[in-house]
Amino acid sequence: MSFAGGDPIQLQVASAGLRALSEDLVGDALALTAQGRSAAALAGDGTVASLVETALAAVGGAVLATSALVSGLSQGATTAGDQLQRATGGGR
Amino acid sequence: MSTFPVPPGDPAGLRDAAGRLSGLSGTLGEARGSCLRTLGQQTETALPTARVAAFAGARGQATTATSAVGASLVAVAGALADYADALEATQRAVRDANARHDDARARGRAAETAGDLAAAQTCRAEMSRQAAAVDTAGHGLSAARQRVVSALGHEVGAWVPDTGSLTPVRAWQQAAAGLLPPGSSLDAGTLLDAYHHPDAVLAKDVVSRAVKLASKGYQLYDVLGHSRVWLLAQLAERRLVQALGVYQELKGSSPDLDDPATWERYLAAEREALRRWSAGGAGSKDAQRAQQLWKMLRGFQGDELALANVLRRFPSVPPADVVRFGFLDRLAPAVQAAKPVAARVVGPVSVVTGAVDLHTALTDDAMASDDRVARGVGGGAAVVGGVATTALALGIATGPVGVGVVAVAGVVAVGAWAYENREEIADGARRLGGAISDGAGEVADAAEEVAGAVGDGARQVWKGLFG
Repeated sequence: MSFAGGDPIQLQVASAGLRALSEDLVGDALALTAQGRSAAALAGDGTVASLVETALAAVGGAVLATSALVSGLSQGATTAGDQLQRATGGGR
Repeated sequence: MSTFPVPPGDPAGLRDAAGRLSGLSGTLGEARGSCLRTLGQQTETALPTARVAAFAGARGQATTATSAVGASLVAVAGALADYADALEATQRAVRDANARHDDARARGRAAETAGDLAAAQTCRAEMSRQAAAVDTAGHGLSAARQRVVSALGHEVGAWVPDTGSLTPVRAWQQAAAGLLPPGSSLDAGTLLDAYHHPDAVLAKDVVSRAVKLASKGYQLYDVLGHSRVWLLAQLAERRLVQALGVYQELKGSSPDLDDPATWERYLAAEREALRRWSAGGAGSKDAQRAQQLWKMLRGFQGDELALANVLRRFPSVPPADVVRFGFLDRLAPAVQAAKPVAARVVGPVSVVTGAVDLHTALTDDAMASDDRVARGVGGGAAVVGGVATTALALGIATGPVGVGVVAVAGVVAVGAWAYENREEIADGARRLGGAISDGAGEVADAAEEVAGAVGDGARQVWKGLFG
């Protein structure tokens, strides 16, 4: 197998950054659902309350999926780095 | 016992919630998106060439999602703020009507007891007026409720399309699953647990399971073909086009702010406006005190009575300085707060004054129409044009979709700032007023005919984009 370019060390660093970003996004997703509940409790109107909680739950779900995407990017970078390491015997 | 029920709800709490969402919109739409772009670029330079295209595609889609999330949160925050304002105004009107109604009733009974039929009749008329006032306030709240329901429904539909009524947890599940390609779906049971028991460990477990299902991440690269993400890109782009459309309406046919020379002259005028404002300082101490007193009193006494009382206390301060130049000190923190965002977008002056101008043009009904147009033209140009120009200047806008997504991310950042500082912006705009109008005089003259454009459409976009 041949590789055109590639830097396994940099891939490891970037992968760690992406993993941390994914974890931050998980926190954001949960924060959004919490905001939805709290805003709903303040609305005073049942329809508005339900909709705001639903809207923020939907956005939170999308953020969670984005977190999965970013986590996937992180793992992809790790895997590519591992393959490079094996193929080149370490280093470029 | 109140005659008229005060509508329930906590406007101040809702406004706080809107503020927190606005902050989250900046975090997600700008900070996280920017972090992802940087890390993605680092990864792409380190990947074997054969892997770069797939990775860049998937990373681009994730960036799209963060931008769209940021824009969505600005819209939700705007809707909440809209409802909070209407709720507060209605609650205040109803409480006021209750007080006046009870007073009229008491006076009416006393008049009847005293046999003063004319006075009793006057009191009954007053009670009727207060009932009518409550009705009017109720209509206002009802209209706001409709706007909010529509705006929130639109945001739900953006993430979970083609569904009827949804419970929050179903929306959470479906939105999460809808963004990922088949084969990497998130586990429904664990998602449910994570929603009902918000816990980072549990939620991270959901994510890691999804990634494992996707063969260590590679299958996620297939997200390129996933229709939902493309729709989100379209949504983000549509919002930008909407904003640009309002800008074009505001701008009219002349002068051409797309022309670099005209644009430079306009920016110079705005910089001069800010310089004048900065050099002007906060005025005399008496003026500052008068402004503070006016600020405190106007909420209780109304503008006219408050101003009269302030002028009695500070006779040396001209009335115009009390009201037009109020709160000078409050703009300074707003300018400072804008700097991190503004520096990234186009440069502090044009974004700050642009946001000031646009906000004022769209919200200040008391301003003369030509002033509003001039202000709106400049503001729209500075904010919208500045964001897009910077994206292009930085070389990160590589195609039509790229321009839309990147620019919307910038608009989100400016919008979040504008929302968080909306009071200061509105107040500061009064101070900036004359100087900017001087610089934009020719704009005002030429664009007078498009005064009508600063109407409902523009307001809606402002609400959507800037809260």
